Amino acid sequence: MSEAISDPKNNCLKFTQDFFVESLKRGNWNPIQVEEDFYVMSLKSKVGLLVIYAEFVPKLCQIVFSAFYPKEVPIEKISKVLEYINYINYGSRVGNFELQETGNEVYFRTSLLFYKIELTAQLINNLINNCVNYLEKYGPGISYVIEENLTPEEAYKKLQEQF
Amino acid sequence: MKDSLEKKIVDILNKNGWNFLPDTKKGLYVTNFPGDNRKLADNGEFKIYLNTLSLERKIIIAYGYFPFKIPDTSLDNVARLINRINTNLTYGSFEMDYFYGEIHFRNSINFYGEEFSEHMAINVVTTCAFDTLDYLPIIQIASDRNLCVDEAWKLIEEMNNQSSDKKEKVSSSDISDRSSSEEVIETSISLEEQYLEEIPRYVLDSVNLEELYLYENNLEFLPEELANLTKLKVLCVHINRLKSLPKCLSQLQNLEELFASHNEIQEFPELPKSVKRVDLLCNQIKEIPSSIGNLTALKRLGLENNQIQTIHSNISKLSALEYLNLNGNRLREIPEGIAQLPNLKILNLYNCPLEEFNDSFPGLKKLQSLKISNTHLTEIKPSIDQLTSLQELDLSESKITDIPDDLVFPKDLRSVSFYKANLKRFPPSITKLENIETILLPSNFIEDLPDELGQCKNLKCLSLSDNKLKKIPDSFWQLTNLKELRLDDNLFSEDLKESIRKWAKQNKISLTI
Repeated sequence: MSEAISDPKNNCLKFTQDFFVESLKRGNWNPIQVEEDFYVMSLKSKVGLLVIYAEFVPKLCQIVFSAFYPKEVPIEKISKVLEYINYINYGSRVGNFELQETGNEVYFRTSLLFYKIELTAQLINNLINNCVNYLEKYGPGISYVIEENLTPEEAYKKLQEQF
Repeated sequence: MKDSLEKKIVDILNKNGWNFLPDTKKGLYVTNFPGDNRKLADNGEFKIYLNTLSLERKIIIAYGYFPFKIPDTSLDNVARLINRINTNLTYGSFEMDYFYGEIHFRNSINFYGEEFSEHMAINVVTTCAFDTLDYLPIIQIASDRNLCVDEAWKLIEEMNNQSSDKKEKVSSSDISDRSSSEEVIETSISLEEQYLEEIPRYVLDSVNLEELYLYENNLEFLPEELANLTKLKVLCVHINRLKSLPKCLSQLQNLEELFASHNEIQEFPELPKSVKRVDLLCNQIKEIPSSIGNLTALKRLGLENNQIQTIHSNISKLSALEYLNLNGNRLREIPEGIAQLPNLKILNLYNCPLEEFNDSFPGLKKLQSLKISNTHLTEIKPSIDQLTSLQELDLSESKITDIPDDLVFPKDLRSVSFYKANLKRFPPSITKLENIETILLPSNFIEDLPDELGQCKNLKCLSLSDNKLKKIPDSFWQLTNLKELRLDDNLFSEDLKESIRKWAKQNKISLTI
């Protein structure tokens, strides 16, 4: 699909980095540009300080948000955390948890291919809000698996009791 | 509102050649996606599901389902592998159900607060299909061999390197510089997605060529010089702008596979006797001519989403044909010639305005799967029992209101589907099928289930969603081999629902109620 983006008829290049930043600001986010198409944001949430990364690459019609859970996974717990991640991902509608192998951190990723889609601030904010909401909602289950040795099902049940 | 949007989404996708059909559960649609890896089971073919159940929240989801399960011993390694794959993907993710060992790719879009536009659905489904296609083989290999993540990743890198080496050989930058005098003997050339408007000269001079891949370009014609490529076995010109195929194709006496889907081809081409597989889906072909009878080696013919109204009776001469897909054409009956095919195993006729079920099937003794949904059929005739090898029958979305008690289904039938078929009662003759494993009767008007249902000891999947059921027969509780049970949108009391939930949990049955 990415090759198709070089199709001159695609509409993606009209969306500028300024448009992306303004769209996020309309959603009360304050992105800091760290590279040409790469941004970082933070949020004090009920699970701690979240760091959120954003990539906006118009030539590929691509937006990606990654929100990191502020807890490292001990090596001996990786299998269990992966099982929990799959347990949550399997029933999710939007986005997914992943484990970053360097650093053993878990993050939630949402993304959009906006090839021939009219990109709006609403669509961009849907993506980042979904990203953060899922992390806040299901992230604490990672701690239950790591610290309390719960199975994925038990961790999920414990989360449900708190919702 | 949701229903009209759901219909719009499915229509848009099907106009783009996806061929989604309703699945067992309301709001779910399914299509098959052909694989391209002959080393895998079913050539790597898999199912893509479109989930519109969350449309009220403005979410469209697509799943690519793997046709195999991960054994318990490989779960941990596969989990690590799909995590690494996911961290390298941009859109969507692979995920696994540890309990059942099931694995799928999922991609979705949330367009809350916005109007739907067609590429929202197209992008989600396309990404889902191609990411599943790309990674399914390596995940299957890693699962079968229980490879650790680094071993599997090494294999992925090797495969990627081979692929990029192949592309490097014929990169667009050197197309114009290449000449046939170079001492390069290539048997395969891939020039996909290069915006080519004509085939480069050096390709037509590559007389040793056996495989030529030119899909996703802007070709409007193929030159007669293709006849030079006498060793050609595979020609792939999917997704171009071809209005016809050249006559010289019939001179390619080694041609075995022709892929020319998603073009604007109006006439079925003349082909050599050697062809074994022809894919011409999503073109504008109106008739299949008498020359079809020459293709005696043909095993697989895909003609879905054309405008075919007539098929010459010579099609009956295709004695090797095993697979015939005519979904989305304009046929009003199953042509006599097709009813005589001796070795056909799979016949798909979805979305054709069929009006009458054939009185007899003189051939089709090896037919295993017959899918004729979304038709104008009002009845099934006793001739169905002439299909003695039939294992799968889909007559969904028809105008059949009843199945006569004395109708005899082929005894080896394992799966029947009458989704949205206007049935007023559960067909009792189904319960006589000893081997039946799947019964799909959602979105009908069924009020009662026969007590004989309990005789279906091998039943694994039963869907009766969206009917008028208030109670279940005593024999129902004997269906403990069920793996999947769909009973939502009926008229059960809360007490009965609770009893069914407990029973399903005890028997590890996936339940929707």
